Amino acid sequence: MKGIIPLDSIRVAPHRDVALRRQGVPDDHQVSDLVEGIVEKAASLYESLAQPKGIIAEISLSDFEEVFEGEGRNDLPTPLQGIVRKADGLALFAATVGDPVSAKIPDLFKENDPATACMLDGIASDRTETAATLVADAFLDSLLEKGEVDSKVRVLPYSPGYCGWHITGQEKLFAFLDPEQIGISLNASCLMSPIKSVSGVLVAGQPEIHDFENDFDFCFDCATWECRPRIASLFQLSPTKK
Amino acid sequence: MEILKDIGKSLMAGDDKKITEEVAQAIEEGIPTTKILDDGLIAGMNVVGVRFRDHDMFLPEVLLSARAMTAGVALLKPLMIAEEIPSRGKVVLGSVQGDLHDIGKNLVGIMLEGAGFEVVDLGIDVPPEKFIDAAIAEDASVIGLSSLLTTTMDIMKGVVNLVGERGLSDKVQVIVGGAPLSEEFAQSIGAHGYAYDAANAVEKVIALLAKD
Repeated sequence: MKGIIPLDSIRVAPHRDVALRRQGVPDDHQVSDLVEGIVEKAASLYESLAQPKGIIAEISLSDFEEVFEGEGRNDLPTPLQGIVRKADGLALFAATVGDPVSAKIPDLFKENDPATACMLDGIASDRTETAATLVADAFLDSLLEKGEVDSKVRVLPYSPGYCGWHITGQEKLFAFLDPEQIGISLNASCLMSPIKSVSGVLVAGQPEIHDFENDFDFCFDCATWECRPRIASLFQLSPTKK
Repeated sequence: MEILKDIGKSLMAGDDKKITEEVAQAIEEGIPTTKILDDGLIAGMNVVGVRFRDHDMFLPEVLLSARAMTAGVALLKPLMIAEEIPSRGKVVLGSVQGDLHDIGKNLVGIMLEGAGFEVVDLGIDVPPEKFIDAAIAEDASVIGLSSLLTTTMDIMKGVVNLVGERGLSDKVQVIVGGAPLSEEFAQSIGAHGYAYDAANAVEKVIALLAKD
């Protein structure tokens, strides 16, 4: 599988409850008309500005290991090294909601409208994460259609900058995938522009291959432990910090 | 003075139009500028900060209050300059080199300004030397460092080290914040404080300056 994936379904903003939840507002909290107005304004801005697109390219294990090595700055060992060796399929990917949305957020701050800026940021982050999920779904569908995997297989994304994969790994990932085709570029610090973009490797495999103990060296400096709910979601267990 | 209570209430409601009218009325009534600022706007923002900390108010509501605060302060600004009213202190703020994320840093800036501090926002991807140069040029008491990426956390240590190397340890304190950070990390790099969110950053800056 290789090519650009249109992500038209995420041109629509998420439901207001999702937007409010991303701002830390609990479902049972009564918000004012002013806040409702902010949600509507941010959703409307998102829908008028969003240009979501994804790109994917299947990759062999040996080619991926070359990409993963990056500039030789990974914090080894990493869980991904073992996970990819047990995978049924690998693909590099990138996705974005486009530059106009990302550019509008700082503009809103400058216009002294921080509430709308943050709401739009949350909506754009939600849609960017959904973009990654949609590209992963497309990858899984293609593997299922080809009969290369069974229905128990799950796909998870792993990105440079996390879990020991150094951010400079973006250089080789971009060289292989060419996300410039969908308007994503890298700066000198290997960060993506537009900022509301995501990239990495999609790993298809049985749920068990994604499971790992969070006792790597870098885990002790990690304050988020986002890997735990990700892994738990594959088994529908309650996430716990080790 | 009833009008100052009204200002506080409108601020908590995030009603910038009402705040503008009420601050103008307070000025018209001859209430001293510092009283409007301290007992109306800053007092209201202090309550907002406490309610946010206690999960009784949430981010969108706090940001509407911050916008209302800015609208009120805009009316007072010419009077504050004319009367030479000092701010509570000056904070140099930025996302560290290699980090393009600015939402958290912007929120801290808004909350600090709402609490009466002057904020010098250096933006994103700021090299360590620029923080130091700005702190000297602006005579700032605090440098606030923001980072969302684990890969840029080392840069924070670089800033803390530079404060010492440039002989500013007695004048400038460093506070850090961002999703991958912790109190332990702040201590390990020799930072003076760690803030887990924007409201907490205000509390920490006030506490740091009170120690001086």
